[in-house]
Amino acid sequence: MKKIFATLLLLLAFVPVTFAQDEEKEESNPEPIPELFYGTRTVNFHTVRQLGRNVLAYRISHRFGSLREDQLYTFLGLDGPASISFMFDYGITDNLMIGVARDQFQKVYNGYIKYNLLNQESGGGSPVTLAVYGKGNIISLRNPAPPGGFNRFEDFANRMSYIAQVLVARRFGERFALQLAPTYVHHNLVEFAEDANDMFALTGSAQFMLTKRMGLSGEFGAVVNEYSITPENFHPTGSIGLDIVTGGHVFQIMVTNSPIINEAFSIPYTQADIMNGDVRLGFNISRKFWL
Amino acid sequence: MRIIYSRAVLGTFSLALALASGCTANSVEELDPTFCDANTVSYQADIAPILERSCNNGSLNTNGNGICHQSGSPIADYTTFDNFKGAVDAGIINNRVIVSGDMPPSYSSGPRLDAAEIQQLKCWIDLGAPDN
Repeated sequence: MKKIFATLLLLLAFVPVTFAQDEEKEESNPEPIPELFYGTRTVNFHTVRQLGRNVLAYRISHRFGSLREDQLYTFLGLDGPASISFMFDYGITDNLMIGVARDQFQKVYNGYIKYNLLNQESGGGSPVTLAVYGKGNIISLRNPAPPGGFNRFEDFANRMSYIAQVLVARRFGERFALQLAPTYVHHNLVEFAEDANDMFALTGSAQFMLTKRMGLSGEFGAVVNEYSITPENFHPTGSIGLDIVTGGHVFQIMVTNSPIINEAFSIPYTQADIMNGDVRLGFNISRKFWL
Repeated sequence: MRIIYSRAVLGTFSLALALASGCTANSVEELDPTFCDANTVSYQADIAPILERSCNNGSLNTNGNGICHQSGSPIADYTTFDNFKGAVDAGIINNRVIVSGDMPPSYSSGPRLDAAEIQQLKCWIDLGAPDN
């Protein structure tokens, strides 16, 4: 009995020592790593990147016409009609940002909030950056039915939709960053009675930095549950972009299959099929203002 | 100044969130009584059963002569798609069932079409009476 007691005591005596050693190791150099992504979005999807405290950003996005046919006549789709979005982002703290936007698609107004719970650190800190993101959309279209026809927006709630994401990202080495995001989308109004109002999706984003100021971004998003009685009409959305960073600007040109910029609509309702070559050009420009 | 600015931004954002607070689950199909789409009306699933119940069965006739739109009917046989489609294309079904509403007749024991069924039939005719 005495022996056991002595052994326990000995063990207990060692435990704090080993813990203390671990702590010393962790405290030695847990440093925040350089930013994982150039911008707050890869193309359409939010990244874990924050703007930073008291920074305001203005973004303008265009998506042009399809490149599938008549490329010369439409000048690579640039004749349009273009899908356009204007956005304002603001960093409240280094880990919290909000934003508002207006999309040409469905005349949507939206607001979002993004909060970083963990930031990846080198030297024993968090291995990933973890953020939560939520956005609410209001369709501001007038009654689309002919006069006297049924008004689908008679109830204001029918104009609303939402998206929520958990963003998990990690930078591997100096140049490559990868992000996965389980995604929930809810549309208050869908077309058919048997369509689902709730959609569960997975998005993936990646960035490869060619130089400190130039890199490639890619993203992909697909719904995983059965949500439409006409699934042949809808396709996953994907984009590849070239980023060019200049001081307060991030400029990006991309090829994407979705004319829709708002991910709450592009993830479930993109009609263009990448496999058919139904892609288009587009650009994002963001300008930062330090307030 | 910065604090005021931040609060203004926060206030605007809270307002947007407050507006966004209602979460419902509706569909246009359920809300719109005149909803019509090829994905939701089918000859096999919707129209044929109505014909079967209210038009195709000789025993529905209580006038004594047993003449309805059953197979081999001396007036019109609506037991096949092609026959019924012919009557639709000639405008007969629209006139008698939807516009004047005198079919099925009063001496038939088969139930008449209710408003939803008439809407369904009208939708199917408007879509070009597809064999779906």
